[in-house]
Amino acid sequence: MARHNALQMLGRSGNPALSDNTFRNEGVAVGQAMTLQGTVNKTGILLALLVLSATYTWNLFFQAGTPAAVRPAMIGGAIGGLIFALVTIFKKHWAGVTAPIYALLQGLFLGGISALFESKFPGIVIQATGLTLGTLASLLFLYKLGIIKPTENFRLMIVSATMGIGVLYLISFVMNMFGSAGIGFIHSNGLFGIGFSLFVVAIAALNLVLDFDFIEQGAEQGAPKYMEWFGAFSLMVTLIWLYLEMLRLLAKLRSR
Amino acid sequence: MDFNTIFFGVIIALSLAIFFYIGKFKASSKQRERDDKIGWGKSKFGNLKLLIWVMVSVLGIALLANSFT
Repeated sequence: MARHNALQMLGRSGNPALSDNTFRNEGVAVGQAMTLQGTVNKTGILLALLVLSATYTWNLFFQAGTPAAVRPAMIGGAIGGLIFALVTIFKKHWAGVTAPIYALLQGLFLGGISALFESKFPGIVIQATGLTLGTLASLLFLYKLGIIKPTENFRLMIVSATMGIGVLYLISFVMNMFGSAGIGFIHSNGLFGIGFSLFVVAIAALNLVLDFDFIEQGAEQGAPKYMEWFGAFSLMVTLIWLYLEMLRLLAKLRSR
Repeated sequence: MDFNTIFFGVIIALSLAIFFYIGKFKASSKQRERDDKIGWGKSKFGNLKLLIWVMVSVLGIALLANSFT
């Protein structure tokens, strides 16, 4: 029934992009189809898992009072999270298993890094969390009302900027590994560094709009049920990135 | 509890409430019935897959090289 409704809506959209090619890779749901409610619920589950494991490393840091106590958990969480993110991206139908593991591992990393920032700049974590979730709610509201309209050009712009930032971060990371100072301006607390952070925060935030559109269209076209987990996962990836960038931006502002 | 915690705590609670409430509703017809919508024909990460592989490979090579220097 859900599939029937989705196909009816597809016919009414008048959008040539929404032909039977859309979501072809994932097929159309034979049993239960992807829904908005299901995706929102699964995002809630992933958030809860992330907070749960983040609480563990957070407490570990403040009990021990030294970064060394949380370093193994943080490194394990970061590398494990990367591996499970890649598995989820390449094997979407495994998302029901890999996305919760990803959230738990990323929580270990986020809890540790948040504690490190909090010890240096008290109150910064609640500010970054508030700004991240505030951005999420605001952009969702604007998207649902149709005030922000994601188009192919919009996607091209955001994906290109995201790739550029990714390459820049990778170059900086590799340079740091070999003892170089890396690309200094992206880490500085000068005007250029803060401007760069603001740009990255804006790009990360606009990625949320792409996530909303992906989820909305997936539900509208009756994508398979496991795409709810994948949609929730892609939202989590963007939220984690946005949160980390907020932390960096606030730290730069407060260290001036 | 200081003002910072209360202010941002309220923002967090409100934002989560908005997300979980509005998230389950369909977008407005103005959003759904456009002719210039994105065609999610491929995976959301489809275009990024190649770049991800390149980045992971570079990172792996750098880690290996770093461990031998």
